[in-house]
Amino acid sequence: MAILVTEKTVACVQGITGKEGSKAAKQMRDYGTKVVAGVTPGKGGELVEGIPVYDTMEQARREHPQINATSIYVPPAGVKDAAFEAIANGVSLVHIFSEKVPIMDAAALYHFARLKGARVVGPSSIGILSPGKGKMGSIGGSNPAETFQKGHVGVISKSGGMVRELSWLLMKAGLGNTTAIGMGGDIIAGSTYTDYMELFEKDPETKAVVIFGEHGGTYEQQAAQMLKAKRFTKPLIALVAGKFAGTLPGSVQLGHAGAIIEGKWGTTESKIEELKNAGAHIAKIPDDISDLVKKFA
Amino acid sequence: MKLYEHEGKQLLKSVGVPVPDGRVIGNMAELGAAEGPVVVKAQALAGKRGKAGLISLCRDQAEAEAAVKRVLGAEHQGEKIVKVLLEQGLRIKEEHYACITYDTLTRSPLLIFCLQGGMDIEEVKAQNPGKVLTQPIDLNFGLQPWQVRQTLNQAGVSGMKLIKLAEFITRMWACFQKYDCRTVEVNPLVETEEGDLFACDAKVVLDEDALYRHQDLEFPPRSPGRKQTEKELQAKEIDKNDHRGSVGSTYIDLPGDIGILASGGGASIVIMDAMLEAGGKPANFTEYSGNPPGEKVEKLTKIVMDKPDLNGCWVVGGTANFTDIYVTLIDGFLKGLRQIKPKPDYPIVIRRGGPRDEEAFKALREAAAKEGWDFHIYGRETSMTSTAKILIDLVNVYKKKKGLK
Repeated sequence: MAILVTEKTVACVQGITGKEGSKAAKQMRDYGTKVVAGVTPGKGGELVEGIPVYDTMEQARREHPQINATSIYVPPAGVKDAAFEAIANGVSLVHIFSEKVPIMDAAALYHFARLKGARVVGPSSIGILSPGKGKMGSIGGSNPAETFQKGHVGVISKSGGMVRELSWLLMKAGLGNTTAIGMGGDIIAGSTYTDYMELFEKDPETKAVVIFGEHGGTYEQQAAQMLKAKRFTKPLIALVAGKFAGTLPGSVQLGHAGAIIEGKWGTTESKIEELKNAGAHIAKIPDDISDLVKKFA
Repeated sequence: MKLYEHEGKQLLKSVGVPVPDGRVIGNMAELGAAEGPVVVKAQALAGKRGKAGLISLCRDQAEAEAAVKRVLGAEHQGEKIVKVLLEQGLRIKEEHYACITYDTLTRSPLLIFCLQGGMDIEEVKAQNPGKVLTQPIDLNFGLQPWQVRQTLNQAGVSGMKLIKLAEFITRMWACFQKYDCRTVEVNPLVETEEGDLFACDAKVVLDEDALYRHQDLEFPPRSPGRKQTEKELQAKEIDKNDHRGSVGSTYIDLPGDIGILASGGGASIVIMDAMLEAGGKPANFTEYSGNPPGEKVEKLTKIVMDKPDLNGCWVVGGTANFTDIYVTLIDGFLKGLRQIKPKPDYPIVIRRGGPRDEEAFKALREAAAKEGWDFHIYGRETSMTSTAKILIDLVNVYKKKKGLK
């Protein structure tokens, strides 16, 4: 088993006529995902990599009723509109690759998805990859097999680069993924660690979960609370970066939009402390991950 | 982007939130007639201005002159005061606290209200959490007037004041929405002896990713805590009007001797932690990601490496998913490096993986052989963090050779 992306995933790419969108559509299909349509308003009737392009999601779904997932590759100003269009048309999994989405838009589309029972992954998410099943987004680039293999570890990372790096470290140690997810490092994420942990908890193939976190926000603390309350019972291995940020004066944002320490909130140390107290296994550096996971998977 | 008090008040005023009459001055000559009572408020981005003596209530012209003279040019948490806000003094009856800001627990804008204002809300919360009322705002429906009344009522507000305060807070929400704010905080929210409400202070933070929707707003660049360096300003320019990838949007000058060109929002902070742990002294923090074109990385390389006292450089990132390693390293980094004078002879450690990495490494090796660079190249087989120690050891050897300590 795997979560989110499975054999049943039938995908569409919104913004398929753009540079990254067309590349992603090809990569997704090459990795075994069924990509049956693209949507770009005004470009209906075109073909991208042999995939038919439609003007609207409604039309795409009319032609391909089996579409249940979309990857959004449109400029930040169009993301909210594209996501609402997908959700309103009944697409249940909405992956958003685009970065620099206004916070108000991210929160609005999360609220709309909650109302309609859809799941949003991102914004600023590199994608979701289930080895042997398929992928949504640019995760793993054109050659995912170099760094991802089938196994029993779920990976959830705020960082797209780190989800690949950590999966690669697992692979080097002979381990592999059920599903690897780039959740995005924005202040408001459509799904957070706890949302994914809930799914991994129910997935019999997943034996342990690795999370990569950063300073800023409260999502790591929420993961710790879930573990503490025993709503998540599998081994949780956590790497939280950002100690360096705490040495800087003032509230400086480093890297991702959500990686900002405001007051006493969101320091790396406080997150590590809470995760540790809740029973998580703490990796100090990426290289520690595989040794910590080995015992369980 | 955090706004100065007077800028924030401008936005509040534009949607009908009452603020005290006032004007901003930048020198003594602009003071003119300042009849008391007048409040002299130094404009600084950092908080705790009151405790630092930067806000004073003046009874007459002489007191106002003395107060302005004292704060203009003074420093507050590393920032030089260049503007002063003069405001009409009010007859204060009560001080409350109201704020709308994003909350990651509910993933919503959150209304926060406390009857007890004028002090640090975190302190109030620590002593008496029950006094701080909150209401998450569901964006499918927006902030409803009844929700505001309910929150105020729970805080103990009633009668006409409940109606007036609800109106005030509904307008704060209008400001939050209209300008894509991350935070709109009014503390204190003052009730005067006459029964009027005023925003006596304003902390407004704008969402930089939404600024494109507000081209009419013009606020000069700022950095809370300290003035931005020339390089920091230059680095910010790289992403302006070019949305391909993200390059240098965060660049911070640091006092060390190792130049940093990191890739990836997450990897860049992992490697800074590793550098700290290994005892290296970074000369900067910066990051590029999202498959940017070569010319943007070239510009950032020049900003990072055009520093006289570098003893090493670290070009480092994880295993990229979609960033073209050849484009960023060869058309970007190497091109920028070739323009640095004098030619760097210090060790440069490169650790990277991802699309076209082998091609890039080959070109780097050829350039090193031909042009004499001290490159140390590692692919994804070598762990990212382990290259921190490799670099620091090389830097130490280099410094010894140069007779540096």
